[in-house]
Amino acid sequence: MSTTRPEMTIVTGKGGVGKTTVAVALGMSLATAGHQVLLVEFDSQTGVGTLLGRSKLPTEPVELAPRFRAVNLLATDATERFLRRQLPLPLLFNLVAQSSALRSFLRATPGLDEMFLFGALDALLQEHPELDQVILDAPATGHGLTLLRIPYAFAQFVTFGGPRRLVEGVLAMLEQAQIYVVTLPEELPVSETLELATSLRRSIPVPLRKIVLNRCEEDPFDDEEFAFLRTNCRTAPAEEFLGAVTRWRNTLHRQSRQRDRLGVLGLPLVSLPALPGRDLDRAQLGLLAEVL
Amino acid sequence: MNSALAEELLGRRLIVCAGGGGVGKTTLSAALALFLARRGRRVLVVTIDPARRLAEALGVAPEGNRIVEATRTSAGGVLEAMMLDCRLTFDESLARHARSKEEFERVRTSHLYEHVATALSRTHEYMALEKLHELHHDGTYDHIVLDTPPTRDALGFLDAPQRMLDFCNERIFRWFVPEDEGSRLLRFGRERALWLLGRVVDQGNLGPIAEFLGALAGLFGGFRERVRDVQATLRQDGTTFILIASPGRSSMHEALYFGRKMRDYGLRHRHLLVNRVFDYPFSERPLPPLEALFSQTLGLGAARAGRLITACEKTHQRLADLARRDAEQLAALASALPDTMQLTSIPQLDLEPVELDAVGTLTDFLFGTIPGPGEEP
Repeated sequence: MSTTRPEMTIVTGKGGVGKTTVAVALGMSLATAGHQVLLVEFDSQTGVGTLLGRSKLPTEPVELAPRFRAVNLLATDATERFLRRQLPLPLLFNLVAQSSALRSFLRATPGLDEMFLFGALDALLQEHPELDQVILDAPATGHGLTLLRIPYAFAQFVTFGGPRRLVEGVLAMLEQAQIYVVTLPEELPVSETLELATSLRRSIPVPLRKIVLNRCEEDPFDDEEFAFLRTNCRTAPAEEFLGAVTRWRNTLHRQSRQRDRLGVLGLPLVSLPALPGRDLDRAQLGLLAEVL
Repeated sequence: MNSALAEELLGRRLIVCAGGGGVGKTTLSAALALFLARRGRRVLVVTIDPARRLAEALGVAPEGNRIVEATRTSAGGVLEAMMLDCRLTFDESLARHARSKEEFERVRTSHLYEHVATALSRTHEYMALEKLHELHHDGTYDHIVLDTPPTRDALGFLDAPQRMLDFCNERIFRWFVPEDEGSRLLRFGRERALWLLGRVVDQGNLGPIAEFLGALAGLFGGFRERVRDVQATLRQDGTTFILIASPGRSSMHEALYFGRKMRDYGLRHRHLLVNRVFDYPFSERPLPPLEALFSQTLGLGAARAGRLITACEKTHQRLADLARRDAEQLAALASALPDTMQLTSIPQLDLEPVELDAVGTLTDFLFGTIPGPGEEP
């Protein structure tokens, strides 16, 4: 069953940093370059669906753009899939399916849902050998890290049979993986990114390859211009404007200081421009795709 | 002065702040807690976010599970902070519930323990509840403010008691307890179930799992009552959920989804705080005439003056755009909100959000400046 697995980019980062936007833009850029791309979410309530004006992504791959598909895998489906594979005899499967004790045991065991989701993704990729690029939109940082640790945790005590094959498949899949961390040029997201990078490097063999700094604003004034502005705003409304500009520039200065802090990681840093508005349309996604 | 919010906070012992990531939830949790401290209350703010942001927001560096005093107020209130260390809590919990030292050791030294304690995903929620319960019943604090992980996980947090109860209640645990012989019928049931489970997870994996669960099962007796208590605590009248969002469609979606979920669970939620709303005085009115302003100045060539005006206009566009978008989002959110909920909009403040000062400014904004001279940073 073992085939070459596609390259996988796991996009992670704190919630609200535009992780999903970056994942979609990255997918678009790869598809535009001619790759067959699949964007994956695990048990997502909003994510890509919301971004593209749908309520939710379907649980079967759906085409977002030429060569670019997306899917939302559900833990319930993934568990079912594992059980059917593990228990090919209908009689046996039904026994398990009817055992509420066993089912709730499976539901409640920590990490099992996620393990089955990884397994379902691996199986999906085997069914679609034409795919050569996969993007996993991982949950927000703390739990994103937890998610990635799970297969390696399971590998240590699952040593036999079907479950072992599932774990091995997932580990093989992750061998082709790399991680992008998306963050914002703000104090807390940057601190968290530095922590995340340390933990990732310490506990997971998947390499961290890139930091994507989202929503970078550009300072329209140089210091001399701004000094001039400051000495020349004398009327009340002009001072009000100056106040707004000053606050804005303070924000921008904080941003560039935060950007500098990421230097210690020694990783390529991609800055994405802040685009008008809080939510993006397809054209703007295309623009981000170009930068990526 | 947001009197409705103030009243809600003063009247509840347990205040749970819930919302998506990146909305400033941690800083706001601290700001709400600081308000209570300024009213002379003894307050603890707890974060269960695996990322250690509360420490930064409060300018203190609490180690895991260690309570650190953040500030004292002139009204005699105290604000303390704690970062939850899941691993430590798990250890403590197991030690407390174990029937014997040997049983605890058997669990602790198990191969699987490491993963259950730290690596596997829902432990954070279980452990948060465990700690919450302990702190709540301890009675040291007038109020506990809990900062939860981002929404999707916060939902896991709400589900955690039920999941944990289901987990503890399962007969399946008894199957793993070797000394629990029970009746013939029970033994027959156990053998059949173990055989089935063996098919599911494969016989070879069953040994270590069974051993671990057998030991763990013995620890669940006390836990079950605790989980029920916590469930009751979350539902009781003394508990309220404060929803926190920021402008932006996905954050709003999350807030509304979370609100619906809380209604389903029967949890009290009266307030939605929308944080970091961009504020710009000229979003709806024209800029002052900059040309006139600059033309009368000396020392600036026409080309530079032109560039400066362009830069001003560009900035104006950008700031007005940000402010208008936020206003639109806010209006949409307000119209989607049930009547029972009050929306409070909080502007983006010109502050580093990592100091107690920033927390204090937020508190000032929400509740007015209540004398804080006695506050020690």
